[in-house]
Amino acid sequence: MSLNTDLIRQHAAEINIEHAVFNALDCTVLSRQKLDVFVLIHKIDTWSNVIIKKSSTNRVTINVACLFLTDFLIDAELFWARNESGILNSGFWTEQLSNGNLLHFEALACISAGQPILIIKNVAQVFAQQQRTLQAARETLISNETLQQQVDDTHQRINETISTDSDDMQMLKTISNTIDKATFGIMVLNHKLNPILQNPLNYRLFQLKDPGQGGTETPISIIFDLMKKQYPEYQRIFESATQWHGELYWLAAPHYVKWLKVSIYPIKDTLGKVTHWVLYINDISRIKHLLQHNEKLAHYDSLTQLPNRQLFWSIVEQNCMHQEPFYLLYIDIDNFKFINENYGHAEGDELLIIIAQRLQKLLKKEDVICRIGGDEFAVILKNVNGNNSDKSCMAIAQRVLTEVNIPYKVQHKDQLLITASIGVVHFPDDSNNPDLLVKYADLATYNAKLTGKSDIKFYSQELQQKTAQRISLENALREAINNDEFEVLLQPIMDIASGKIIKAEALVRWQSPDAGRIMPNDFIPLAEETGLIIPLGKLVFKHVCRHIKLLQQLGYHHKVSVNLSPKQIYDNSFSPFVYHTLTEYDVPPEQIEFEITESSLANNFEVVLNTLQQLKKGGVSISVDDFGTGYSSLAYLKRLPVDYLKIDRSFIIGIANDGGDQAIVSAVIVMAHSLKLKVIAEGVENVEQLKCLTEMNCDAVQGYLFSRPVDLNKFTDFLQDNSK
Amino acid sequence: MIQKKICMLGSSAVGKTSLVRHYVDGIFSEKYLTTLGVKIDKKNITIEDQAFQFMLWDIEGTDQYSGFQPRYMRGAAVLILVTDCTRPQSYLDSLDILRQARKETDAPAILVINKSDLKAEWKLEHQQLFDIEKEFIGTIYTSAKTGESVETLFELIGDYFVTQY
Repeated sequence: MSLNTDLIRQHAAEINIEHAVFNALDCTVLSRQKLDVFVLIHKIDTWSNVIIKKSSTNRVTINVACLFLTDFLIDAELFWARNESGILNSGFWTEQLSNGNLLHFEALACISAGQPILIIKNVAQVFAQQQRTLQAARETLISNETLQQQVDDTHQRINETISTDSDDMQMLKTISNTIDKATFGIMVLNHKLNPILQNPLNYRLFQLKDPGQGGTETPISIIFDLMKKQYPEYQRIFESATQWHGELYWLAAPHYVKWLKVSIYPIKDTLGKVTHWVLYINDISRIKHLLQHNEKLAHYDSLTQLPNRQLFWSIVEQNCMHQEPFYLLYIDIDNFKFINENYGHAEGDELLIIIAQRLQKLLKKEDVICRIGGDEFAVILKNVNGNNSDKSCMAIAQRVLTEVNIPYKVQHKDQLLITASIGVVHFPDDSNNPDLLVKYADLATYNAKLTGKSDIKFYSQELQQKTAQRISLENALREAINNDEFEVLLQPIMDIASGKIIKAEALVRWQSPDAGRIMPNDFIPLAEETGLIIPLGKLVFKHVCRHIKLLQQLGYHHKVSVNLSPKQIYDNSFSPFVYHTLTEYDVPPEQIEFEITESSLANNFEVVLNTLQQLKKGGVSISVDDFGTGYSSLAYLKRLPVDYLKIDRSFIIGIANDGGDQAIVSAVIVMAHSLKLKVIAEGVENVEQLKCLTEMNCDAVQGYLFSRPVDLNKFTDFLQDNSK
Repeated sequence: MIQKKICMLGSSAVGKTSLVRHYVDGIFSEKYLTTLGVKIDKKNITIEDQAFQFMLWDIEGTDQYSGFQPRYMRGAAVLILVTDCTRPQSYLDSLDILRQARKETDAPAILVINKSDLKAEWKLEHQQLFDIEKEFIGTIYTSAKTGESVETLFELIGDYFVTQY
């Protein structure tokens, strides 16, 4: 009896302590019972009614008016379902009461003793503290941005004046008017680095008496002195006549300590000879002070704890300054959107943390890894050994890809495969300018992505040219779609048994007013990559409908097959567009066939299946193009609403004398027939090939033996001859 | 009533909160107070007999102190990308933010060039117009201070929703 009483007392004491802790933390604590229903563990009377509603004894629901929390619960449910350790944090949000007062909260989801727990914290104090810090930080950031803008604008005006005004006196007068209004120090030096003009602010920045009032030190003498001590490359800047931006630390003990941001620009004549130098000096002590006191806030990514973009820039700049060679790797995770969409953002965040950990494990102590964007990381590799350092860097980049590629376990069941694209640039071989290095790394990554996923590209001049050409082609293609510069040709498909044309394949050509006829291989891949395939595909389909309509008027009712790209298959608007257009042109769906490639089936089979079923339901037929070259899954094929298989031309070329090709083609035909599919052989160019295919019971053929792709007029002639 | 989630995006101090305040409460404050996290306001609007409830997600500005938060994009019906006409950088930032948002949502985006009562330091140039045509369903100059075009902005969005039904 006594033992029980003691236990009860002990338990009650523990509960009291828990409640005291929750009160002290200003937390309302809920235990999830079922979807949207919680058991109240602890509540703060003063504000809990804003967030929760009592539904029955001790059971509560979340107030539906709390939209942010309701939205967070979607992520929390996923998190709880995974039954993992750790805490899911909602971030801050604000609720406004009817009296206008604001309450600031943060929600945490976790699992305690197997029970899903939701903690809602009133973060009034932390919020106010962070708001003060960020307020100051952002105000400084904006004034810095504004200042930089003013420097750029002023420099543009000064540059124009010096470059265009031949009268020195007039030039100095114009510049003097400009710089007197400036809120920062400006100096114009002649080519011998002697000041010829400066605003009085320079003297005030360095606490000097105005010129002519005594003193041996001048603003420029202090700046040069500081540069000599703090930037060893000081001489090179002036010798090579390059722009320079840097920060100088000025200590005039015991009274003054300042951080100065200095920008130096050479002004050159038409022959490239330096005539003047212009210096801009800004006092950035306040922002420096703020950042030094909030280093964590300013420099680290809160999710991965890696250096953020800001610190990354600073590291790149420092490394460039120290003139030590290094490689910069840009790592872009492929298709990250898919993960966020299909598994939720909490899972996406978790994956980013794992990727960050894997990359950290891979690198040496002196290397730096940063998170520079949502799904972008950067690695700065120093001391890459070996005579062929490019090769060593490539090996490291490949290890990065391998590490990223290791499957991830998501939601305790699915194995998720992730790939990345990497762009590599070298300092100083590719550039000694941080801006350019980063730009080139970005360009290389962009190109790595273009070649498919999981690729590595090193920056080169050639790569840059290629990219420029590509951008120009992309613009031209966009213009061409606007102007409808496309022609749709038709290539007949013949029935082997009757020798008659049974249908035609539509093939697009770009008739560029500048470049003439451009073949599909030169623009379709680009259209695919840029998404322009969607409008282009629709344009082609309209052409096809017009062709069919004209053929109908001549008494021909042949089917025309149209190629579908994977992007079109995933485009929700495509199927409605097809049937709308068919109605618009009064074309029966039975006269349309869509050709999909095997590669379309490789991803998201269910989506493909759904789209094809929708199309098929309306009456069009479907064929699988390039069969045998890609993802030949018979299981998939059996489920797809397909009518025809088109055997790729690569198997037809050698069919007359290659036993391997003969065996493959023969097997495909038998397999297709057993699945009640008909077979079309593509690329038939000679009689021997036709003979083989006839013997193998192939149903139809297409190729130069019968006709090249031709315009509508020629196709009509062909139909006339064939019908005789 | 049809509920629509509208996300206010942009770099810090471009006036996202001020636009919401003006639209919802009809007030403007000269004092800049940085937003932390998210604040959601609601406003009912009827367009062509169709009642909508706009849920305005005023999201902390994206900058070096606060990264883009993909999870806030869930269920967004429209994205409002707010820029400051006195800060050219805010336009470039908005394109970057939109690029990140596009990884999460295909919701249509509107470009808002705010603070039109102040002297514009930048104007849309040819390339920018080209970018805008590609990326945004519309562009509007607003002033949360004078109220210029604030109502129009949300009416445009309402009109857009009506055309979807």
